[in-house]
Amino acid sequence: MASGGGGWQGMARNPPVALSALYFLNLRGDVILERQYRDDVDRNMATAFKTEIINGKDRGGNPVVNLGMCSFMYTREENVYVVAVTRANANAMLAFTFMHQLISLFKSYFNKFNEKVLKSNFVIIYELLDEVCDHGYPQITSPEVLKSFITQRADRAADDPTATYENQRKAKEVSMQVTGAVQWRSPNLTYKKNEVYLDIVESVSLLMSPKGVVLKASATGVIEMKTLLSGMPELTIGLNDKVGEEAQANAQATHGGNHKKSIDLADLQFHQCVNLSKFASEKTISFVPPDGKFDLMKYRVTEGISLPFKLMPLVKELGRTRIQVDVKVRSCFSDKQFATNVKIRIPVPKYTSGATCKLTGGTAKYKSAEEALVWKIKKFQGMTELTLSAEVELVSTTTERKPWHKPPISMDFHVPMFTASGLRVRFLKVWEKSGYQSTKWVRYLCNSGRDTKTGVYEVRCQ
Amino acid sequence: MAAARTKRSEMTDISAALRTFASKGRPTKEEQAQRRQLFQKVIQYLTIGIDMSPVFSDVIMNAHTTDVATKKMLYHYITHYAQANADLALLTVNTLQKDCREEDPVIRGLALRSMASMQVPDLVEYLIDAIRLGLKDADPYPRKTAALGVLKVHDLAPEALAETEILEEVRRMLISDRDASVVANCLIVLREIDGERALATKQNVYGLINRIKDFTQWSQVTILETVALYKPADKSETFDVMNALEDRLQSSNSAVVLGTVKVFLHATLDLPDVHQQVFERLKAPLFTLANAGAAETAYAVWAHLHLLTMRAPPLFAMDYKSFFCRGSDAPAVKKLKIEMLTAVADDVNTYDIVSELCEYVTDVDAVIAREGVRAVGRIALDGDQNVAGIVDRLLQFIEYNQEHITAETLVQVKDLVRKHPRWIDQCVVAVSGIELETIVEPEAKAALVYLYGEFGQAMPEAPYMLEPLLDEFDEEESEEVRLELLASAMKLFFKRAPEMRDMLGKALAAGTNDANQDVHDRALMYARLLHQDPEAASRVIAGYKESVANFSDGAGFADKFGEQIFDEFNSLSVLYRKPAFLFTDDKPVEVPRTPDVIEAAGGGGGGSAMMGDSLIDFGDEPVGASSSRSAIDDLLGMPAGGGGGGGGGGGSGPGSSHNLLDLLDVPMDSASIPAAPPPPLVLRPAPSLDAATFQARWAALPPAPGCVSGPRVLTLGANAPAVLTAPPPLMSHLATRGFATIASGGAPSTGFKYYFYAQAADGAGTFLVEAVVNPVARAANVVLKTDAGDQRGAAAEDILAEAMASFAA
Repeated sequence: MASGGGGWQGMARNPPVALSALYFLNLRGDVILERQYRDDVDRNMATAFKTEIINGKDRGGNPVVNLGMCSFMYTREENVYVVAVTRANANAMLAFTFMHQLISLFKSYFNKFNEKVLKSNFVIIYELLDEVCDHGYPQITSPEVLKSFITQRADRAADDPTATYENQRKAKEVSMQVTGAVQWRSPNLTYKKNEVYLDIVESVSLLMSPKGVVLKASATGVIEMKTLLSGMPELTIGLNDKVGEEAQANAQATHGGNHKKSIDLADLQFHQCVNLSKFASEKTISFVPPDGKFDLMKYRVTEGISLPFKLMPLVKELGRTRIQVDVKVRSCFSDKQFATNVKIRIPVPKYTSGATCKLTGGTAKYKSAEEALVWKIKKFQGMTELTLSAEVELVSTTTERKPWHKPPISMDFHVPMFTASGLRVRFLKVWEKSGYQSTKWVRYLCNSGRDTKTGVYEVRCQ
Repeated sequence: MAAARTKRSEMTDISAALRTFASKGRPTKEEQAQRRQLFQKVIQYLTIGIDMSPVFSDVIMNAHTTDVATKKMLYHYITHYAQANADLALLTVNTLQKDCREEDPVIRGLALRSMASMQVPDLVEYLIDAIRLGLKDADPYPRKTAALGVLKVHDLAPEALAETEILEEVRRMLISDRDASVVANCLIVLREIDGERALATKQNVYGLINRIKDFTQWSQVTILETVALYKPADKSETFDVMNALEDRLQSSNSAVVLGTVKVFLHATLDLPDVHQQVFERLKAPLFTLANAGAAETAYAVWAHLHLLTMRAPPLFAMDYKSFFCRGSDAPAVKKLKIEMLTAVADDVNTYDIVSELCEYVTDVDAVIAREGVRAVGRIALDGDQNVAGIVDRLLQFIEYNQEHITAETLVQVKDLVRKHPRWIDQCVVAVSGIELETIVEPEAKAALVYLYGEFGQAMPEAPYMLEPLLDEFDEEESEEVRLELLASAMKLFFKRAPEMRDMLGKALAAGTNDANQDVHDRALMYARLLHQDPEAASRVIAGYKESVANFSDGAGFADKFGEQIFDEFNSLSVLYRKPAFLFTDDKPVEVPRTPDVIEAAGGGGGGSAMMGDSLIDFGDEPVGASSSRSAIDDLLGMPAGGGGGGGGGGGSGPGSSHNLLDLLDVPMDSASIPAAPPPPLVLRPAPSLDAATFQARWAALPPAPGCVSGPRVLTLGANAPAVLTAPPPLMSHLATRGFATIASGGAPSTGFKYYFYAQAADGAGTFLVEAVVNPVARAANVVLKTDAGDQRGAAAEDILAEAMASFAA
């Protein structure tokens, strides 16, 4: 329909919208909610999605499928498929980003995102869907801005009607705010106690060869913040990254050399509140924060990763029915620190009948569902070494087995107050024109990557 | 039944309740709350798919409500059913118009958006008035809603819109409106109505770039799309645009980052050196996006990285480790990564890459395992010097003894020996251990059958391996395999006639009775060929074969549309690896061919050289190397039309098997005693031979009869001293006679030295020539060597002598 009559259309291609319709389906493929933004797709698209994609053949994790000139871009969250449908050559990245922001918007409203939540909040969700997108183009998705745009409240749909007046008044304010200079923060916030929380959370992923050679190691990090601050505060943060350090070193040239470790952040992404030109010129991160929780910055580090754990596996096949597994794990962080919830997954063949493990710490069990020995260590002190020595019994059969190609051993862990990149906050300053004092909290956490988002901590076996 | 009745009675209840509320002039707070709950129920039923249109008139009677929550639900209901109830929808006009003048800007916007979304043609008139009003609204929220409303009117009634001044107003607002969200929506509207390229003017682009920080991230995406279509006038302008947008690469919104990437790539297309730097600059943000974020966005980024890598593999050669697969990657991502690893393999990183690829071969996912094998095969196929270790590893896959791995390996081995004859011995040894009955997949089976036929002389057991298959020719389901069986049986027959004779007879008989047209035709053609002229059959079937210089299958499609897909960067095209017109209703678009900038970056393999070529262009490759279909023809070793000439008797009717066996019997005898008079030697017009083979053969072969006792002296034409002042004239002259030059050198004073080669047109014989030419004396001292025997050697000498004499005559 966008290509109807008119002089220019012959030349114009279908402009890249994000989507024509949005569906929320449960795992059976029934529609929970739908919203049609353009008329160019039929309403019964959910049926096609159900038969072809939910019940169809495995598509190898490909998140976009074309059926009869219609493209389905989809993602799954909990027990809900979110599906964007379009007939145009849509901007796929825009559609995916939009869907993910929508999911996090719903989460910020309802704390959760699943079939039940969608069903019990459909009225407010329709209101939201009305505001977040118009005619296939994303509009406003910032929870802060939307929260007062919406008349209904989550899970409390039958609210006191007097609240609406208040909401209407607020809505007026907001419609100004949408377009104001600081679109992510409303101006008149007050807190009794002004607090800032800053967490550096890193996921470290590793791929190590059987010989202990690091094939690939990287860390992705997020600076998560929660600000409970009055007024329009300006925050400044200094990190020990290379760029920031050089600026610092120049400024302190008279104070002598700087021997601290500096980190080479391979790539940075900032929340839209960060003043990027100031970062470019002065190398400090300064910003007027949104209220509440947000991710200030994301980064990736590929050089100089300190691995929290080293793992040395030795897997030997002893005849046809036994496998000897020896795994040594060494923690490489300071002995004053602890890792928690360490879980090491050692894959064993499908036809394993059982295993006997000798350990120097933690507990280990053969889990047939996972086809692995799972070794758990609740608390793992720094600079120590634990070993597992297991004898795995295989079911003996007469038929020829497919040879077993030892999949990699993977590790899960949390190491508080440790970062694989070595990144540290040098300072965190809060300035507001009223000059109040604020309390600041800084924490660090290093996790193992454990999914497609963050990679995994893996060691291959010979 | 009972349920239906309840539903009907409930509908009546709802209808009654709605009427009651509608009649209340000033509802109390309590009543407002009750009505809101009632509306929630209506919307809930609508959501789960119950047809709520029967209460349409009752609902719109409540349109005057002042409660915003109720109003929103009411409008949601109306827009949902308006198209089906167009007449009734008109009744809401008054309320909508009133709401468009409401004090609260949110209500004004809501009413406007609802009116525009109803898509009722009769409403257009009112809608246009409302939009006029909305575009002039003091508050930005109704203004931005009105702007998108223009697009909705355009979709509904373009003529009605064209008669108004509204589009002019929107064009004015694009430049002058104070509010970013309004400008963004004006941009969206005009992009769809005026066309996206029409909007990419200098004034618009500069205006938008300068304010880009005021816009929401979604609007920035639209702006970046527009900027990407803008062609900066010169280099400094290109840099201005890129500098202004560089910080967008650090946005936390992946869509903004990718939009910026597109701008950078497109802006520098005409500046090869900058374009290359831009690739370097863009790597970091792209790899970050690919390694972080949700699985779907990561996949989208990998697809784009794949496009860039294929465009310029050398630029990513250093980043090969980034393409290593993680255990947790989705198979679709692994597939992309494996293809990228294959593409970036060069002299330095090949060893690491192949080691890594070997890991994937043991993947539990058979699809990925095969991709791993295929990738190793590709690298072996493309590589030149470094290929030894790789071929070993490829052949080792057979020892894994896994059906799917062996199958894929066979397919790769078949291609490998066709291109690189020097690996034949090693490959033949490796595959001769494979039991044919363990191979099930048609493609792999056909590959193995081909190898038996082609190299049967080196595999003592070959006829016996084929025997069971030939015996049960009818049982074989795949026509691909049946065709290959016929060809291999033929080839093997010429190598090992006594063992193959019966088998071939049976196979040809079964083949001519085959229901499949191709199989039938081929069997018939072989039979007639044998009957007509066994010698010719031998030349056709078992003749000398060129090694294939380049396989162009697979990559062909991407290359063909590569430029267009690149033009459509940051869209579904890249994820599908197809241009938009193949998966949307769009018409194919002519894309101007942009200069191939990456080629300058250093011999970019196959990836860059062929982009943007015309749609049907398979270049001038060796016969039949262009698709798997014609690859079969190539395996067969003859042009497809070759069978036509032998059509003696029977015509098109499939002869009975008895007849055929009779036909076969006659030629069999003469096949074992070759016919007497040798055919005259004809040289292939365009022979091919690589330098290494030339050298090896030159050292090994004996000289032809005329030059056994030293170079034979040939005379050049009378004008040779004048014409031959440099090597080329003689080279081009000899090329017309079938002699190609592999090396030449020298000066007029010292004389010129040449190495030529030629090949017999029937494939039986290669001729190598060393010639020292003295132009002044009009003398050429030649040594000719051949593997075709004395008779043909002498014939070749004669051709050469004639060629020299006619030069500059």
